[in-house]
Amino acid sequence: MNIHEQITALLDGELHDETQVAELLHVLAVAPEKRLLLMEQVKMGRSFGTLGAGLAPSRSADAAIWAGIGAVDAMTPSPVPPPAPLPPSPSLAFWQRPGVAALAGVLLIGLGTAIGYLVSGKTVATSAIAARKVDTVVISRQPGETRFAGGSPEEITLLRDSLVDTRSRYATLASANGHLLGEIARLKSHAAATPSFAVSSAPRRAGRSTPDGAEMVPATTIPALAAPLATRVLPRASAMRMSASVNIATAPISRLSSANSANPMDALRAGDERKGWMIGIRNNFRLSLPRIYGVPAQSNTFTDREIIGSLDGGMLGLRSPLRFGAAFGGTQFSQVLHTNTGGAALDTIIEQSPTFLYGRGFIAPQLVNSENFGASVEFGGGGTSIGPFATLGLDAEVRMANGFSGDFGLSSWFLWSQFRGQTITSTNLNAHVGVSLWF
Amino acid sequence: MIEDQALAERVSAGDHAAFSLLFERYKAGIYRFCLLMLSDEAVAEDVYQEVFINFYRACRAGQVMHNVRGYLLTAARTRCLNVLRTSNRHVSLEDVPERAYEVDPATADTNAHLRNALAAINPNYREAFLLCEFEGYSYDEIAKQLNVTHDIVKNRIYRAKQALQKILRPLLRDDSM
Repeated sequence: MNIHEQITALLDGELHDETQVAELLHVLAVAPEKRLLLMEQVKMGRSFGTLGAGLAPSRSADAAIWAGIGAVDAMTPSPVPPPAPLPPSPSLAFWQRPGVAALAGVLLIGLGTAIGYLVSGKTVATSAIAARKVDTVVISRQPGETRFAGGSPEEITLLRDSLVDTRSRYATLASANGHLLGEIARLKSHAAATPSFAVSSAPRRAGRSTPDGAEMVPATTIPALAAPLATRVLPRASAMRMSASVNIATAPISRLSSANSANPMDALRAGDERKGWMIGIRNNFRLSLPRIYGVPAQSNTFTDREIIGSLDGGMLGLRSPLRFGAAFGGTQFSQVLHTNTGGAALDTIIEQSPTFLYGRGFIAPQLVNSENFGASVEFGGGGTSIGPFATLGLDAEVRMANGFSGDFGLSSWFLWSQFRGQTITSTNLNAHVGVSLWF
Repeated sequence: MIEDQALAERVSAGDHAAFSLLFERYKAGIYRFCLLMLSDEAVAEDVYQEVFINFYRACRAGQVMHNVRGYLLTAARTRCLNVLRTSNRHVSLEDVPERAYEVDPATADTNAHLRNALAAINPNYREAFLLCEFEGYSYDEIAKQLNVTHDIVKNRIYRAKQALQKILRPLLRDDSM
């Protein structure tokens, strides 16, 4: 191997013999013309390195390759995808077995109804107690208020006098009304008997002209009688209403037999993916109707929470995109109770009910079911200690992660209750936000 | 970094993303080899396209790729040699004479001199030199690739460098380089 070959092998890392390397280095050290050969090779290697780094294919050449593989794809049949691997464990979890899931779904719906029914069943016992309590209802006075003392004989006498006075005025009004009706009939018959009688198209106030041209308003018109009644009677009821802070937590209310029945919607769009179970919590922001004004320490707006669970109808063998669910929590309703029909001391009580527990069940047909968003209507009903209620709402869910979603929606809850034979209805308008876990 | 073989398996299923990764990984080396072997950009691009499209077709046909780089380089080399054989019909590559090329440092840029010098040497020497100098193969790897002995590779590379050094000497001894 000559010096040139040895230099080439050395630079390419192919000179492994230490003796040869030592001899070559000695020659290079003592022979300048051999060193020049080494320097030329080093310089040449560096130059080719620079040359190689600057060479690149054109964009059109790359584009032609991509076009070419597109043509290959077009000519190559798609390979048959391998069968999906079987799940590692052929046995399903206990709660995923079809029979168990169906049974659990039925139990879940039953649970929501049963909670309401059981809680509602206590009203039989509490109603009797409450009925006694309402007769001895305590009216708390406002500072400086002296007119009404709850349940005192003076108040009862005053109210009875007022009632007699009202009845008397009613009789007077009825008599005046009959008189006016007779007068109208007489005028009509007179008009029919006089062909030249013409009625001006201009609006005229009812009355008679006096000889000097002045107009006299009849003294027996209804407004003239009704005005003093309004000023004398209504202030009493409103005064009581404003001054009474009534606690009728156990008002005599019995459960109505009517119940809400949900009607699942048909022809809803089927979702691509169904989750089996859902459990979540919702925070409700409620506006309770009728609204209460001017009563201290009572508000129509409040928040409460409920725990909610649901089951996909597919697990029960249903094809339509339905969910069945149940929830329980605590809430309040505003109520207007009229007590004057039986001659009781109070005529109207507007109260905010105490917080009571409820259970409810619902059916939720899905309206939208995409990868990241879902929406459904919720029809349902449930029970409370003061009566049953029906619910209708919309719920939307934003699927933030696999198995986790945020919920929001609107609903209306309609409550029936009874008080001394009256049917009393109340409504809560709700907005809710919540979170749910899906599995 | 995903292994070449795993990517090739994905390419066989028509995965363009996997092909893109392999393409970006090896396109510069293959193109450089083709261009410097053939000294003709248009022909080099044709060969370069053919190499990658055939690679994709082979993958889609189910051919197992144990060594993607080796496959591509062998395909490029085979095609380049075919082109060269076609242009030198009556002479074997062993006997292709070296072309005369004189470097004038004042007339062209360095890269043009280097490419012309490479084009002037024997294709067999050039091939071994390119694999060693540009692709970083060892002599043993080149021997395996070219299906020749280690000594032949060593000899070819030596002769290539000797010839190039001789052609490029005016340039290499120019202090401005």
